[in-house]
Formats: sequence, C-alpha cells, structure tokens
Amino acid sequence: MVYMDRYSGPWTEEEAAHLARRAGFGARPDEISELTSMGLQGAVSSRVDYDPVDQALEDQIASLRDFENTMRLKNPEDDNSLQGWWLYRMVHTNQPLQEQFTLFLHDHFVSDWPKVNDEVSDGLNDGNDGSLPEEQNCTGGSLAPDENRKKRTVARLLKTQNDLLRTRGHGAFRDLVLAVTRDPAMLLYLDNRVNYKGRAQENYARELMELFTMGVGNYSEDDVREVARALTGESVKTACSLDYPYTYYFHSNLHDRDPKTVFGVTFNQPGRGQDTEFVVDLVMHRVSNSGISPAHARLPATAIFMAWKFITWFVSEDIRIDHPAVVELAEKFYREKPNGYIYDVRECLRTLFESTFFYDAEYRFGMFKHPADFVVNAVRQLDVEETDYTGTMRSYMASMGMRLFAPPNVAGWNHGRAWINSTNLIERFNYANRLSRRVIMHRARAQSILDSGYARDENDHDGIIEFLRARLIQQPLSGDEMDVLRRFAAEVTGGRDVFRRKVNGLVHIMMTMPKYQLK
Amino acid sequence: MNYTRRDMLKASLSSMAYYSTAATTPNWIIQAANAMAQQNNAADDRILVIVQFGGGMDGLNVVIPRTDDVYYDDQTRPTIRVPKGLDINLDGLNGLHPVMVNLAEWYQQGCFGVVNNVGYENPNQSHFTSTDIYEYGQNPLQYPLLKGWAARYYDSQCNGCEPNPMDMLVGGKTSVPDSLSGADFYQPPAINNPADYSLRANEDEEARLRAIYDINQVQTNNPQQAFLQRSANLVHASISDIATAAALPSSGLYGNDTFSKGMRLISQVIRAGFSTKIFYASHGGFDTHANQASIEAPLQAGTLPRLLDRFDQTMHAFLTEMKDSGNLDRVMVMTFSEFGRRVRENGSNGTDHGAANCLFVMGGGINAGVYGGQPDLIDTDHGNLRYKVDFRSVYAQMIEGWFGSSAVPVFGQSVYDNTIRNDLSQIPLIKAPAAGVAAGVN
Repeated sequence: MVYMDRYSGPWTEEEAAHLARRAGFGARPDEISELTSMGLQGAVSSRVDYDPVDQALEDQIASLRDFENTMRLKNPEDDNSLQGWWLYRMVHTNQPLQEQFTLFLHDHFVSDWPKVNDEVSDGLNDGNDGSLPEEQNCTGGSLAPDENRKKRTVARLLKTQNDLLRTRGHGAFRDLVLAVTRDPAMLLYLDNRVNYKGRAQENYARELMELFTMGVGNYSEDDVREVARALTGESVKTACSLDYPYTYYFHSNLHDRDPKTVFGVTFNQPGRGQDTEFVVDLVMHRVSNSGISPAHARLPATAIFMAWKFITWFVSEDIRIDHPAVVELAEKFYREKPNGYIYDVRECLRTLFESTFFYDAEYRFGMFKHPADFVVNAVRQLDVEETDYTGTMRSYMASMGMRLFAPPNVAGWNHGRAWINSTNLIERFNYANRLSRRVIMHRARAQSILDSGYARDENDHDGIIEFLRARLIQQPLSGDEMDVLRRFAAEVTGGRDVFRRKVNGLVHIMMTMPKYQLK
Repeated sequence: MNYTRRDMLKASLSSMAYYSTAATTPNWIIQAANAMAQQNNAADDRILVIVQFGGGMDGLNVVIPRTDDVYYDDQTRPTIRVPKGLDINLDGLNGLHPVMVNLAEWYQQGCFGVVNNVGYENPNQSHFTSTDIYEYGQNPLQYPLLKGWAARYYDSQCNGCEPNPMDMLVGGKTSVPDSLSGADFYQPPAINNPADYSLRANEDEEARLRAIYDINQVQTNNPQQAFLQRSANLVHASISDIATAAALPSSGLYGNDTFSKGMRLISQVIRAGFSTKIFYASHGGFDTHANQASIEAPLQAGTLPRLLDRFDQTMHAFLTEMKDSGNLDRVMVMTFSEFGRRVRENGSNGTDHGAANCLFVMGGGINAGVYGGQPDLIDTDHGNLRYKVDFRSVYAQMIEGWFGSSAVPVFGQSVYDNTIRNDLSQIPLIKAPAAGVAAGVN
C-alpha cells in the first residue's frame, strides 16, 4: 500500500477545506477551523460516520411554515417540488457527505422522472387495460378520477428510491444492490417489472452488470440472458386504493423455474426471489480475468469498478481504472470487514478520505464543480438563504445541466468539462447575480462583515475581498485577479448603499471566476 | 433586408464598446474579428439543420400508404386513420397528412422528400435508449456515451482548430442535445429565448460585466482555468452574435412554441451570415398513446394533426425565408424520431411504441421524392414495422453527399459495409453531391 496509506503530512485548514469541498458541499471559515481542530481522523469521522436519518433536518423540514413554496417541498407531489425538496436538504443538511453521496448514488443507480412517469398508470385509463399482471385496472372500482394522482405516485416512487440511497447507501454494498434491484422505481425504470418467464426482458440484467456493479467487458451476452432469466418475476403490484401505490412484489408464477447458468455456475434456487440473491452474490464475487486491468485477474470486477467510481467522483475525473490507487482501494473494499461484512461502503470512504492519495496536492482544485456544488456551496458558504427551492433554484440548476431526478440517460450525467458550455456558464453567472443580492440585504448583515475582523472599514477593499475569498474561492488569488477586483470595488462610488453594492458586486464577479468553478 | 457581414462585425464590435476601456484591446476581440472576416468566403458553405420529433412520431399517419388496403382495414386503425382520399398524393403510393398543405407544395417545388422504413437492427422501444441510439449514431450503444454523431463529425473536421462559438447552434432548447454534445474542445450554445442569452447584473452593470470579462483574461498556466476562461470568452463573443441575429425580422407564421422559436432563431442566424454549419431544433409531444386523432375530424381533433399543422407552418416560414434570402440551396433539413408507432391502434384512440419510421429531408439541394419503399403492414415484427434503411446510412449521406467529407471517422468502416448501408447509396437523395467527397467511398 502506498496510495491508500493514511495521510501523514501537515493537517492544516487547507487540507480540512479540501475534505469539506469533496466530502460535502464546502465549508465556511468557522467550520473549516473546527474540522482542522479535530485532526485528520476526527474530521473524516465527522463526515463519514453519519446517521441514516438526519433527524434535526427532518424536524426542520416538518416545522417549515406553511407558505406555498415550503408546503410543496415538505410534501413533494410533482417533479419540481421533488427537486426542491432535495435541494433544501443539500443546503440545510447537518451531514453534508450524506447528501453528496446520495447524489453520487443517484448518478450511479439512475432512475428518472420522465421514464417512470411514462411507465406508471393512474389506474383508470392512460392505456392501462389491466393486461399487465402487476397492474390492476381500477376502472369502475374505488378509485376516483384525479388528474394529479399520477404525479403524486411518481414523486413518491422516486422519493422512496432517493431515501433508500440516503439511508442505506453507506452500508453493505451487496445489500444496497439487492435493495435497488427490488426498488419499485427501478423495477419500472429498467423494465424488470415486465421480465417474465419465457419473455425475458434483459434491460435491468444488463445494466446491473454493466453500470451498477462490474462494468462492461466482464460478462458475456449469455450471462446477460441468464441473469435476466434469474430475475424473472421480480416486479411490482398495485392496489386500487386512494393513491394507486406501486410496491415491490415477487410474482412466483412468472418466475423461470428452469436451471440458469451465470459465469459457468448453474443454479436454480427454490425460494421466492432466492435466484436474485444468488445472482447478486455471484456478481459481487465475480473475478472476470477480463484483461481490462491486471487486477481483474485477482480481484472481483465489482470491487475495482466501484473503487474507480468513488475515486472519479471524490478525487479526480482523470484517474484511469488501472491506476494503482484504484486497485489498492478495491483490495480494501473487498477484503476488509471491520464491521463483519465485506464491501463496507462507509469504511471504504473512510479509507479514501484519510488516504495520502486524497490529499495529494495535484488533485486540489482539480475537479469541475457540478451544478449542485456550484449552487449549494455558494448558499452554504455565504450563509445566505434561498427563497425559492422548488422554482428558481431548481430551474437554474436544470439550465446548468443538472435536473435532479432526470439524468440524461441510465449511465448518469457526464462530468468534468461536460458541465461547461456557453449556455450553462450564462446560467451560472446569472445565478451568481441572483444570489449576490441576498448577501447584504440589510444593515445588520453589513455590520457582521465588518465585525468579522477581515475588513477595517467599508473602504478596506482588500479586507472585503479576503472575507469573500476565504468563503468562495479558498485558494490564493493572483495579483492580476486582485487588481480586477480592486478596480471594481474602487469604481463603485456615489449613489446609495456603496458598501452593499461593493460586496454584492464582488460576490457576483467572484462566482464567475474560473477558480470558483473548481473544487 | 440585406445585412452584410461587414455591418454585422461593426455592430457586434460597437455593442462591446465598453470593453474598450480596458487597458488594451482584448485578444479575443481581434480573434473574433479575424474569424468573422474569414466568414466572408463562407457563403457557399453548406448547412445541416437536424430536427427531432420527440416522443416517437406516428409516421404511418403522416406519410400514408394510400394504396394499401391493410391500412384502411377496420382491424388496423378504426378510429384514428386518415380517411381514404383525404391525404395529399405524393407519388401515387404515398400521401401526406392533409394538414401538411404547405409542405406538399414544397414537394411539388422539389424541396421536400421522404425516406420510409428508417430504423435499425433490434429496435429498442424505450424513448430514452432509442433516442440515444439515434443521437449517438450507435447500435448497440457503447458506454460510456461520450460524443454524439454530429460532435464526432465536428471533431473530424475541426482537428485542432480554434472553435468559433457559432460553429453549431441549438435553437429552442437550453440544453445541448446529445447529437451535438461532447466534441473535444467545443460545446455549442443552446438557446430557447435569445433575450435570455445574456449576462445580467442587477446593479452597477457596466462595472460588473467589465470585471467579469477582465477576470477571465488574467494569465494562468492551469489548464482547467484556461479552459474555463476560453468558455467564458465564447459566452461573451456569442452573446453579441445572437443579439445581432435575433434583431433580424422574421415571418409571422412562426408560433410561440419552442420548436418555432428554435427555427426562427436558426433562420435568423443563417440570414445574418454566420458560418454555423450544424443546427438542431426539437418538436416534441409525439408520444400519442391516447387521443392521437379522430377519423371523424381528421384535420381538427387530437394531438397529431395539431403537431403536424405546427410543423407545416413553421417549416413553410423557414423555407420561405431561406428562399427569399438566397440561402435555400445551401440548407439541408433532416428530421428523425426515436421510433415509429405500432401498426394497429390501441384501445385509447392512440398508438403504442413501435419501430421503423419515416423521416423527411428538405431544402434546395435534394431530389424530391419518396425513398425507401412503402411500409409493409403485414410482415411486421410483433406488430411493428421492420426497417429497411438504417438511419446511419442517411446520416452518412449528409456527411458525404452533402458536406463532402468522409463518414468513416464518425461511424467507422461499418458505414461502407452492408450492415448499415443498405441500398441508400443508390438513392439520389442529394441533387448535387458536394465536390471532393473524401476518398474511401466505395
């Protein structure tokens, strides 16, 4: 081990801030000081040892006053309010890694609004003739016509999946994969709900191996077909009750009862859904010897693929799957079981965030912020409040290219430079303009900046810039950059509220800097 | 009005006047001016406009097999078919939906064509997967999905060039569709409302915008920061270009829908004389599972006639503007949809996801006609039309016949074997193939 050895260099505010930017949504100077004082292991523990439920956040959401906007995010009943609900969580979470990691998992185990919406029925018409065994036709029954029922159903399905990723994502990866396989939104999104004996539907079987666990090249087309057969009957059922719920259901009569052969292993498990568990375990332990990397000859493809995905999300997009750091992390992910089970996600993240590799200076400020980073970091680091999560904020983020619950396809979003084009940048710059208005809105807030000790008075431009640099940019500014910012501050003269205009203008400008787009 | 490139250059530089208070003339303004000067020679350059029908267009009710009794059988489409005799005859075998009167006239003028039976092997009936297959030009898809087919073409042509912000353009959308996405050093602008394509500052506007410009010019050795600076400068340069184009007058036939907005902007950018090579616009809503149409009121009732009427009027506006401005012969429009729909209607006056479909080509450079044969309504694949023309062979004709480039960098050698080429190379879709078609064409 070299890359995954525990980092032993200096632990300063710079390292702590790097951890906060990657394992969460950034941090303010006071939070960075606190992380620094905890030391490496304490700081990492404060991030990875999160509770399945952030109770303080749940209470905060439940106690939101009943304005229209907050009502919608308290009880998401449509596409926009569901996005707002998650954005509110990202901004207000007490466990920032939990929300950042949930976003990772959403990008990994994709399900999206358009397809799920396309698949669900409202139980009455909409082409539903009751011909699918898992879908009841409630026409003439107890279900009243309700044009919003379908939207509520989809919102609940996707929220349920999101909460699964949030509460169980940092446990045993094997159990997570099994739970995702049986998640109703996933059964709809990747069509396993219509995977029947004699009419195998391979969509989920393929993506399970290609995108969710091992990566392409580590299985054959025969394996895809046989896994699909093993998963027949894993589906949903509906009920003609008020909200036409879709719940997980194993249809024994649609399950293929003949022997299947996957990776050369022939099996036919007797119990309900046991073939599914058997397949998930085969996939977890499959050493493919595919030649994709030398390590594929001795480690399971799933361990390598997932270690690589963690590293490309949290350290650098440019790391290749055969990089020795990936192999080291895969080795630990697969072989170590401090809590009694292998594939322990929490411990894998702890290893990564404590590693020499993670703190290598080469990777600092080397990743492009995705739109959620761009928006949420600014709100958190400037300690301001968004007023319209379900409307303006989520709409800006969608225009920046990240519409939550709607990744472009089953492989998730494209990252890195793909986040940057002229349209997306305009949205970033204009959101900076919107947010800058909220930095100083009244006198008390202006005074708090002066009281922070950064700026001597309202004309101490370098002090004001430093106050904002420590929050937004967090890396040194060049002399040329300082000159541009000083020149702007000096130009804001005359008229009313000069100090407020300087600060708000500087926030706007600094959020358009290349350095603010990087983390 | 005739807006010359010289006027445009002057206008865009003067709209940037406030930048001139910076200490020196910014490099990008000089570069932008040089790039525009080069455009003076680009007037003959050919243009491709890609139009997506989102949702899976029911091609069987758009181009009607007017001589096929199966189509008129009550077992097939009892409530939604276009009644016999109401379609607009194209070539005796195929007729156009009766709302498409303008495009039928363009067909007579030699500027509208149909390719029937377009699809691919092992058709996928997911909107999302099948759209990916069309946009990436791959079947099966190869993950990770990196570059759309037009982006691959762009890279094959650019090859280390300095991208111009207006090389490609998406109209009527704010996200870049996958077809145009992923080129090595370039992402095109995607613009729904040109008025929104601007930088805003709620106070001290001039000082803020100048600082935003200046802070993206500072010296850096960091490659990621340099990439971001370059992207920010594309923003600045294209904002004035879009404002210039959007100031041109346009036809009253366009609607307020996003497809019309997109085609209007595309027309303006072409007429303003920018050197944009590839455009993209999207007409959505074709997922007609229910209330698609009514045999009782084929022109008025249901979703499909409304969408086709919109398409007809918008394209009529666009083609007329191209003709009047002398651009018609250098413009090619090509449509696609992720799949066609089931031959038989379903139980809710609609149609479910199918497979093969028709697509349209438009412009002054085509040989009008109906290609690809009549759809076969009897020999189907589980009730879906079988494809006879692989969609990539139509794309390849655009690259080779229209642009005069090689399609090998885009689709690999497979474009030259029978697996995807079919017999379309024998179909004279394009009137005058571009000179200098790359070596390697069989």
